[in-house]
Formats: sequence, structure tokens, C-alpha cells
Amino acid sequence: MKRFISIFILVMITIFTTGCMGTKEELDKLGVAVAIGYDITSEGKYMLTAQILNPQKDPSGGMMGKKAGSQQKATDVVVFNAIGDSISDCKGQLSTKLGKELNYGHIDFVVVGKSLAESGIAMVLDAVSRGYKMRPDIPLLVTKGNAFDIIRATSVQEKVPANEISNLLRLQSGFGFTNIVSILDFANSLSSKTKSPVIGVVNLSKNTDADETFEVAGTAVFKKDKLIGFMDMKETRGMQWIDGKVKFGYITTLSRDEGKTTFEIISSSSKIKPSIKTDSYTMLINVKEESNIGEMTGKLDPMKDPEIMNKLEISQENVITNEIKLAVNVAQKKYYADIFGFGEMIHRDYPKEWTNIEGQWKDIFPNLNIEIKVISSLKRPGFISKPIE
Amino acid sequence: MKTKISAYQLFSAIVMVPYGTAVLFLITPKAKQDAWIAMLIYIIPGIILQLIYVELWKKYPKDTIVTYMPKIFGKVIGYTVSVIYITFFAYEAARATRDIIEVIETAIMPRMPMYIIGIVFISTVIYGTYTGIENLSRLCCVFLILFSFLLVLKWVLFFSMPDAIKFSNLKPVLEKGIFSVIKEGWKLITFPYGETILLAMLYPSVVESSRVRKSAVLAIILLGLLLTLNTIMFISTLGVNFAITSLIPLLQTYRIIKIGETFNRLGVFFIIFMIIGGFIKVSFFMYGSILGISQLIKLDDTKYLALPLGIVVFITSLLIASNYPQHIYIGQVLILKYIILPLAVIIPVIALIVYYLKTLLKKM
Repeated sequence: MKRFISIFILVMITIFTTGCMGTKEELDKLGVAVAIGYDITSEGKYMLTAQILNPQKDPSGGMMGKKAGSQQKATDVVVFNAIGDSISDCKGQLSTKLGKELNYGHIDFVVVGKSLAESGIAMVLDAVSRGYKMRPDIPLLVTKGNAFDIIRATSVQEKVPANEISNLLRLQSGFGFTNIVSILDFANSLSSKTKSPVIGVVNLSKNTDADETFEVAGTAVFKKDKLIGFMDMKETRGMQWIDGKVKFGYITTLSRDEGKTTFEIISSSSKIKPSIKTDSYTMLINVKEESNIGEMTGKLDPMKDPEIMNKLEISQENVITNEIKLAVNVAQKKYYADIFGFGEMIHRDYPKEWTNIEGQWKDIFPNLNIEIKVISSLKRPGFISKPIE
Repeated sequence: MKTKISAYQLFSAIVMVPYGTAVLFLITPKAKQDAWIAMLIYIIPGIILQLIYVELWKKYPKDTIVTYMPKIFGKVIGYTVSVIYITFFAYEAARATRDIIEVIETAIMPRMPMYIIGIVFISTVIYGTYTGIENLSRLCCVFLILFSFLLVLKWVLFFSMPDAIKFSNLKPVLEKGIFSVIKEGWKLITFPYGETILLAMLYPSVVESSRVRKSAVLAIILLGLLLTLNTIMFISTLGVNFAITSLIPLLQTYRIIKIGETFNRLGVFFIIFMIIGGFIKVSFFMYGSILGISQLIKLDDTKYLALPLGIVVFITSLLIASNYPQHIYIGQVLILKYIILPLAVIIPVIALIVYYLKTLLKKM
């Protein structure tokens, strides 16, 4: 009897308490979003665009013998958009068009249009981090046009265009031409009193003859939650040098005796130390970089005279220093925005002094002394010693 | 029926009972990046509390709080205090139940009615308390090892992710001086360390009675260290501000674990461990209440109270607050100050003083 009762209870529990009441959906009734974008319309309403996986599309060129000759682009996604009064309301409005429950668990990135970014994205941030559906490590991106166009665009290489962008993002985390910022990072720099948030930029570019491709390059600079401007690729890499995030890429130097030389970056790291003397605040930026020679046109033979390597190192250091200076200049003189978090660094190392200068940080930052010291070490010339003539 | 538990089981229970829900939250948000220092400092008052509880119990080695309070304070006041303790234990069980329900509602099943989660959860608790404290404490031993391992595993996972841990978030250390940290962190005496008053109900059951004090003190140290590591993890991975804004920072840290393309989205999986932690806490508090009641009404077996008290705890957990902020407000502001502080700190100290005064008077 006891056994019967326990088996009965077990069966009852397993049947009636399975899973998630109200949110459970079968896979074919589930719209798995892979990327979403937010825009603001001219009437001040919000527009959500979602790229949704479309599993029911018949496989082109598959076993069924369908002719794969049509020139239609092969994508496995569909794009839906909806306009609503708020970020979350858009999801509600979407239900009138999309007969599936949207699943946000597999989103690769969130992209925000320029006009929305200019009017402030605190709402987006709140909506995506309040709900349980999106995780805080999703990258946040800004586009110079409308987010709608980014989500709608198709990719030449990937059947799911969102994957293309996340591939680009993965590469750029090492090349440093853009800054990959997750929702978590953005929230943290937004809640800091002095730091200006930055976000990576994604755009459509027309560099191939037929199709538009994605271009992940540059940085959007924010003041509080409002977009104030963009930084180009070079300036962005300057910023990434300061963060010590550049791990791949090339540096080209040009000089009269050495000709045009390109170096391949192997690794880099950075250390920033604030120092405070009476009434002058200095940030000491130390960047260490290692590289190999990538290509050379001058008539130098480093194998004969190792001193040449040292000379090349110096010219390489100058290029890196200039890139860093570019970034610092943009931040200090153009946007007046502490994108590097220098204020927080001073706060960390000099908490007592910080209480005096915290209020005037806006005025101090543009005049902050920045000392840049780059130590680069050139390791190997590669397979050949001097340029082939 | 005399229950018997070993000193090691008591040790693991003292660690696991407060740990179950304390691990979910950043308990001293006002201390900002020094929250972990507050956690470390307040190990010392925690140890002192344990010494007081053990000292009290040493005077009456066969009694629990519920039974020695009448002997110290006399019948009227003593029994009132005992009843208050019993109610407090049951109430704490209800609070922890509600915590777990709220975690599940927020994190994975927002549409599930609270009572369904509550029924499923509390029926397990009822079964656990029905089988008795010996089983529960053996369970504690197992899960103590598992939970410690889990914390270590989490650190390893975070270290294997690039840029996940930013120890610079912990700086500046002691920005406003150590006294500010001590001032902001006083609530730690009550929660999590003060909640160990419950385990004073179990001291008489420990077989190796000479090792009670040692294991209680060691347990508090381990509890403090685990929670400190946990707090450091919150701050260094999430950043101070985000950790403070997050209502369940533990879950946020699980959610950002991402190793490669395969080893991610662990949040839901780790909720299981949160529920287990909550289960241990609720079961122990409910058992404490049951034991108290059975001692007051001179009932031999604690078994039969499990079901009625479980139902009471379940209903209380639903009625305790109408929404989550209210629940947290009651817990963090009212309960800590006006209930746990007197019950876990003031009354035991007074009881000890009264006891010494009595013996002094007798000698004179």
C-alpha cells in the first residue's frame, strides 16, 4: 500500500508539475530572436526590430532536388518590427504580427539606432537588464543609421546575419578597431559619476560591388546615456592600446631611411598610474607591445646589424604613441568625456584627494597631463632577412 | 526519543543554515566595495555570539533555548520568551520560503502562481523535517562539501574567462575608513551570523558535547570566509554599482559565465543549488520551531508536528508581504532591527547576566 501511494504521488508530481507554467512553448511555436535593434520614430515612439530564426524554410539545394539556381539570398532568418510607446510595449505590439512567442535567450547583440542613442538609451538598458530573459553579457552596439537597417541586412557569408556580426565582434576584441561593450559594462560605466560610456559601432558599408556588408569599426561616445559623437578606427585603437586590449593587427611606419615598414602585433599590455602633485594631476600610461616584422621596403638588413631592430622599435613606438595621443585628444579636447575612466583610477588610488576634486572633475579632465610611455620590442624578422630586390 | 548528531554535523549545519539565503544577496550595500571587509570583520562578533550561546547551554547541558529560558527568567517571562523564539523560528522559515519563491518567480517562472512553487517546495521540507534532524544534518554534511566546491568551481570558471574578474573594482579599499565599514555593517551581526541562534536548539543533541564550542566557532569562521569570497566575487565581476542594483547578484554572476560557445547560460542550472540552500535553511528553522513546540507541550516525537507546522509556514510565506520590495523592506529594516537583534543578541546576553547574578545571590 505504501509503495502504491508513493508511486502514485511520484506519477502525479511528474505529470502535473513539469516546467514553466504559462511560458512553456513548443519549439515550432517559439520565435528565437538572434538579434534585436531599437530605434526611435519621428513621433517619439520606439521601434523594435527583431531578427528571428526561421527553421521552417525548406533547405535550398538540399536532398529534395530543388534547383538552387535562384539568385535569392539564402538566409535562415525573418525580420519583424513593431512600434510601441516604450521598449517593452514594442514586444507587445509585435504579437499582432508575429504568431510566435519571442525568445530572447539566444540574442547575440542589441543594436541601437543613432537617433535613439542621441535621445538617451537608459530606457533600453533598463528594459533589457530588468527582465530575466536577456543576460547581462550581451554586447551593445550603436549604428550611425537606423538599427532597423542593420537587423534587416543580409550577409554574404552566413545564413544568419547576426552570426556574421558576432564573428566580427570576436575578431575585433583582438584587433581593437572597435570597443566591445556588454550591457553589464555599459551599466557600470553609466552608474559611475565621472566615466563616459562608450559603445562599439556597427554600420553597413558598400565596399564590395554587389552587396552591402557589415562593418564593425569605431566607437560611439556617450555622455550619461546620450550619444555625443563617434570616434574613428584609429582613435578607437588608441583607446584600446590604453586598455591593453590590442592583440592582433598591423602597424605601419614611414620614414626616410627605413622606408615603409609594417609590423605585426603579437601582444600588448598596459598599465596606468595616476600621480598627484600639488594642483597637477598626471596619468602615466605605460604600454608594452611585442611585434614581428610583417613587411619592409627599405634597404635594411636587420640580420647584419641588430641595432636596426632597435631603430625600428623606436619608430614603432612613435606610431603607437601618436595613436594614443589621438584618442586622448579626442576625449579631452573634442568631447570632454572621460572615456578611459581616469577619474575612477584616481579615485581608486587616491581616495582622499579624490573627495576634493570629484566635483571639479569636468574642468580637470580636459587639462589632465597625460604621459605616454610605449615600450615596444621587435622580436623576429620572419622568413626573409632583407627586402628582395 | 533522543536525537543524536555528531559535532561535524553541527558544524556543517551552522555553516549551511545562514548560507542558504545569505549567499543570494549583497548584504551590506552601503559599505560599497568594502562589503567584503565588513563581512570579514563581523566574523568576530559572530564568534562572540557563538561563545555566548554555548556558555548558556553549558549551564543547562540537557536543555535547549526553549527549555532553559523558563529556568533562568522564571515561568511567566521565560515561557513568553520561549514562545517568541518558537514563533520566530517558524517566521524565519516562512521568510526563507518566500525568498526562494521570489527567486524562482523573478528568475525563471514569472507566470507560475506562488502557491504552486510554495506547495512543491514546502512538501519537500515537510518530508525532510518529518524524517528528523539526523537526516537533515547528514544532508548538510553532503551539501556543505558540494557548496564549497561550487564556490571554488565558480572562481575557477571566472578565472578562465578573459576580463571577467576585475579586482580593480575592489579599490579603493577602506575609502571612508574602517569605522564607517563597521558602522554600515552592523546588520551582519543579525543576519547572517545571528541566525545561528537556531542551532542552539541542537546543542543538546550533539554526542561529543565537549566539541560543541570548537565546532561552532570554526563553523562561523568558515561561513564568514565563504560569504566573503562570495561578496568579493559579486563586486569584482559585476562591479560595485551593478552588484548593488541587482536584486539577486548571485544569479547575475552565474548568468555572465560564458566559456566558449558551449559552456554558457548556466543561470537556470544553478538555481537548483539556490533552492537546495533554501531547503536546508527552511527545514532547519522549521525543525527548530517543531522541536520547541514539542518540548513546551512535552510531546515525545517531533514527527507529527511537521505537517501542521509546514502548512502554517507555507501560508505565512504567502501572506508575509504583498510584493517583493515590501518583503525585502520588512526583512532588511524591520525584522533585523526589532526582532533578530533582540532575540539573537540581547536576550541571550541578558539571560547570561541574569544567570550569573542568580548564582552570585545564592552564594551570598
